[in-house]
Amino acid sequence: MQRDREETIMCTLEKRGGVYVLTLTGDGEHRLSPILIDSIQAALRQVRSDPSPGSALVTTAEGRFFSNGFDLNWAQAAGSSFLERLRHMVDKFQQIVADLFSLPMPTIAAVSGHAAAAGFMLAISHDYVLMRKDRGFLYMSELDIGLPFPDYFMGLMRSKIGAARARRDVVLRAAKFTAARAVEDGIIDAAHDSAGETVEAAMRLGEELAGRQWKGEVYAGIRKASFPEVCEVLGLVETKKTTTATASRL
Amino acid sequence: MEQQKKRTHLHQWNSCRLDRCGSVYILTLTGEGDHRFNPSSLDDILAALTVVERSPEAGALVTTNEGRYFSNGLDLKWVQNSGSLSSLGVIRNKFEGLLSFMMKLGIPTIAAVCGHAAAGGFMLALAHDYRFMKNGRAVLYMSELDHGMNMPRSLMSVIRSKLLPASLREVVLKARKFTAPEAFEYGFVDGFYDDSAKTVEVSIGEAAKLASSKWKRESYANLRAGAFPGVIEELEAQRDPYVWPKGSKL
Repeated sequence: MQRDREETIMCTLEKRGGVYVLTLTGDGEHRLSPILIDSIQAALRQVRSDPSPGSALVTTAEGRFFSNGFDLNWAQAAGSSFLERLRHMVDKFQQIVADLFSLPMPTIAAVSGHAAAAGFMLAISHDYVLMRKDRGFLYMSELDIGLPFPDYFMGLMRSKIGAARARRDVVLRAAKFTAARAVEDGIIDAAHDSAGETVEAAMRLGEELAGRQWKGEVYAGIRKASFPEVCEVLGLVETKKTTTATASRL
Repeated sequence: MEQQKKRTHLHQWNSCRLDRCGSVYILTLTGEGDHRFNPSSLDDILAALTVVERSPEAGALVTTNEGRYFSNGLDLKWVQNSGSLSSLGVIRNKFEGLLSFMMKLGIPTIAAVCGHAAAGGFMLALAHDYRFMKNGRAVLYMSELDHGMNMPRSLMSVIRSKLLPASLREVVLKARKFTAPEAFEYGFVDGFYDDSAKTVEVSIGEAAKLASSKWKRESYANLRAGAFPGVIEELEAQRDPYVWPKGSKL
């Protein structure tokens, strides 16, 4: 997805077989600035607009980072308006999470490097999370930096990190999880030897899931039904009414 | 406490029978078919459970099956043949009533799953406090996604109450078929045994042990409702099945 300005391309979208691949491009930290968030959102919009059934999405990144979270430098550059800029990114990113939760196809994060704070949240907003085990950490840095969690971050962690001890280590200890430990603690699904292998495994999983030819809207509906608390916090309102329920219990 | 091995037959309905073994009451889904839930079979099961509920000597319940199926869920053929658009809603409401009854029963409940349990059948097993399963060809399978059927929020609440997040994804968002050992590994089956007789024997044994604690029914029901909050409320609320309006308590 190209920005029609003089900025560098921030992410690309391609389709390989039944699988969409969204890649955060370049060697940087892929900080979730308003611009990158916009690019991702545009890519997801394009994915959603393609009517073909039997698809899947793989999200990955180039370089040593999956994403290191919000662009705090940009927020700090505003001086006294730091919180305002931070809130702006928090609100914008919530849209991405909502888009991923309502995407009408299975989603897979191929975590190719460090994923911290909002970057960690981006990963676990996907249905499946694979990660390289040779380098990189999952890390919620908020406690170390002295920032609170937005509501939907907490909702995400409660929904996706089932084990109470793991969740405690993530939020109350600001622990840094290698892929191996993250698999053990039930935070992610699998660890692979390198970034390349992680992406390959993600593609294979994507093809397998796309091959089930599930109806996209049904898939999204079941996903939302599986995580109603997060979807409530995300403001995802299901407005489609189906057959009227009969009130009597005969 | 000596376990009474003698089984007394109490009552036979069309779809099920009730026996007792000391303080353990045994509900068996009878016949070689796939024990689908339609208005008459649901009425029979509810009648049997009502007998249990009204018998002060009943200290625990074991639910099991004859034949190769625990249950394949709601009777969709009945829905089709009924020629009425509201039929699915009718049996879903009745089924919600059954699950709600199970969740409110003041004694420990054990499902001795000796055959395939799919969709509603799997949900009925999940609505029990414990599950023991026969190891073999039988699978636990939430088939809705494969059949392009949406998951009503009421039934989803039962599923979510008993599955860890990672298991939840595999069960509902992948429609994976779980053998007994796999279900045990994923934590939603408490034990598996080589044949039906052994599975039922262990279930009755565990039930007798639990019954011997002579817990107060009101306490037990209360604690179960607290351990799995919101489930009974969802099952009884008669809400539009696929809508999650803002501010809903789930």
